[in-house]
Amino acid sequence: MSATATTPAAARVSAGRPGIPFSRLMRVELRKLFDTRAARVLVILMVLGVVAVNVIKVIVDYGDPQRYEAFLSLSYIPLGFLLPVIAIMTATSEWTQRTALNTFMWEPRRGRVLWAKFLSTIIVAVLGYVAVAASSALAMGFAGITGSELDWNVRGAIVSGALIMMIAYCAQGMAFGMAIHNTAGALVLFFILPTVMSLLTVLIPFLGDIREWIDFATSAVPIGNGEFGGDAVAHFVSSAALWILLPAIVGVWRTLNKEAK
Amino acid sequence: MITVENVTKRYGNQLALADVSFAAQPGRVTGFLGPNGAGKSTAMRIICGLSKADSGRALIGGVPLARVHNPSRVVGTLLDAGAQHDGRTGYESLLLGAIAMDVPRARVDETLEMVGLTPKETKRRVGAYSLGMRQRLGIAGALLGSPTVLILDEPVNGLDPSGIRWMRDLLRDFARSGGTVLLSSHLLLEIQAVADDIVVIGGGRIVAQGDKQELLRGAETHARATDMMALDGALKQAGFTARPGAEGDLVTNAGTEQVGRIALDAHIVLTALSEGSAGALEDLFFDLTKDSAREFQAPAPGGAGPGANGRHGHEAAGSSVINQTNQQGADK
Repeated sequence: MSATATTPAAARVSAGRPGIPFSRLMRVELRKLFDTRAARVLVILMVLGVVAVNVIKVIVDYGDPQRYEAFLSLSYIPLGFLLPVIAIMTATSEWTQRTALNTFMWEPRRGRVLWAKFLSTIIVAVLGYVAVAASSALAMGFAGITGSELDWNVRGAIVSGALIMMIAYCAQGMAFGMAIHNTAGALVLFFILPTVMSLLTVLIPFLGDIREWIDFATSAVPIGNGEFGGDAVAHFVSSAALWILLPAIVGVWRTLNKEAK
Repeated sequence: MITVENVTKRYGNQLALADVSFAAQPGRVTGFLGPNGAGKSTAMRIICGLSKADSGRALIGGVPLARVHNPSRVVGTLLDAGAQHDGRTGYESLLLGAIAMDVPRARVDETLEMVGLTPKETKRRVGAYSLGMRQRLGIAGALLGSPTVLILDEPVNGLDPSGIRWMRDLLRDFARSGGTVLLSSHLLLEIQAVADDIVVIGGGRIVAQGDKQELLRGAETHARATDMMALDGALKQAGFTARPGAEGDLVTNAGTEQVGRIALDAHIVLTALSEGSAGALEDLFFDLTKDSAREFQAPAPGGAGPGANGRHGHEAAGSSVINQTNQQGADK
């Protein structure tokens, strides 16, 4: 034990600006997304998934004409599947691993912690999409070597649709995580509830009639494909309110009021 | 300085803390004692702002923790050694704290070295740590921001004897240089060894608080002599009680000086004589908390309302020591 262990200065309690600056909170929460073993495994799975999709497409369509958009849309699938899991864990692990005891001592204003978590997940989603864009370009390069005719045309609607869906799924993951505070439970519900919803819309005619308005899995398809025409946006907003906003409200309330122990 | 003022906390029908008030002074180690479920951890969580009091308030240096700038540089806490992510390395867990508190990276290495975790150990995942290593990491996290206040819940759990000794020195040095330490432990001897002030909680109520020496004064004296029979007889003859203690000694309500004089007069050779010996705090502890402990075993029939009232009556009828120290507490 060294002398520096115990050199408390005179009381430094200042009631000026409470908590810590948001920038430091962002740095902490961004780091926390990737510094655990589980998160590293997920990142490796995402990279492997994207690589596999690209390699398979280049091989299967050997020498055939290739579209950059097709690579983009396919590579996005493993990302869209696994990024929400990271979003779920950022909300749940504070409670399952009980790190909330530390996190809320660093920054007692829990609402700001939640914002930092949400924004870091969004940043990661956007960076993930940029990485997918780069890897798709690389795959196109390889396809070119195989003699494929290359179509580099990209519609802005495809890119914005994919980005919107990635952010929406991350938001949904975090909302479920905040509402349930248990990784396994949140994961199961995140992946099972949409199926249950589809089943219900088949079983119950009334729900079937309003399916586009309440079933996020249905209303997400056109948006993800960059089709914003007709009622697509209205359907998306309505079902997002049910599948994202509602669990998020429950989750924020729970997180702000739950006793950290 | 930590001040807890009239804090009450309920979980459903259960009263966890009932109008609890106490203070931990700078420059002193305050020991927080109580049986399991007495409300120690709940009170500590409320001080740290991790749990909300139904009424009353807890202040650090006169301010609620939620209003303190960079709180972890003012208050270092170790509330649960298990509260670290199993999938993170020990080093990374501390580094996150360093970023949040804005202390240099070098301080992480310094703190880890201070608590005796080797660089090799800190590169391992916390999931692979023993309880003792988790405690050391937790203590490192508490010290990281060079705080002026330490709040530690059962910090010596799982530490080996040298770790316990180290912890004791650390807390004493910290208090000596002006810091405030609030330390809970179920290890009564640990509290007795390190605390300057003691707060005893039972059934969600503070049953005693004050200077350790004062609290222990009036406790029993333990004595040993070459002729135990003779000492026993002499003490009883002088009007004091005497009964065999747990370790072959004699326990009496006479003071040390009185025992010495009686032995001198009766030409008895004393081989050991102590006031506030190893068992003294334990005796005090069980004496003070026995009412709430009994309550604990006998659930109140017919709902919580009458139960809560009954508990109130029970506490009020406690021993004179309890009433006396409660009074002192209220005067502060």
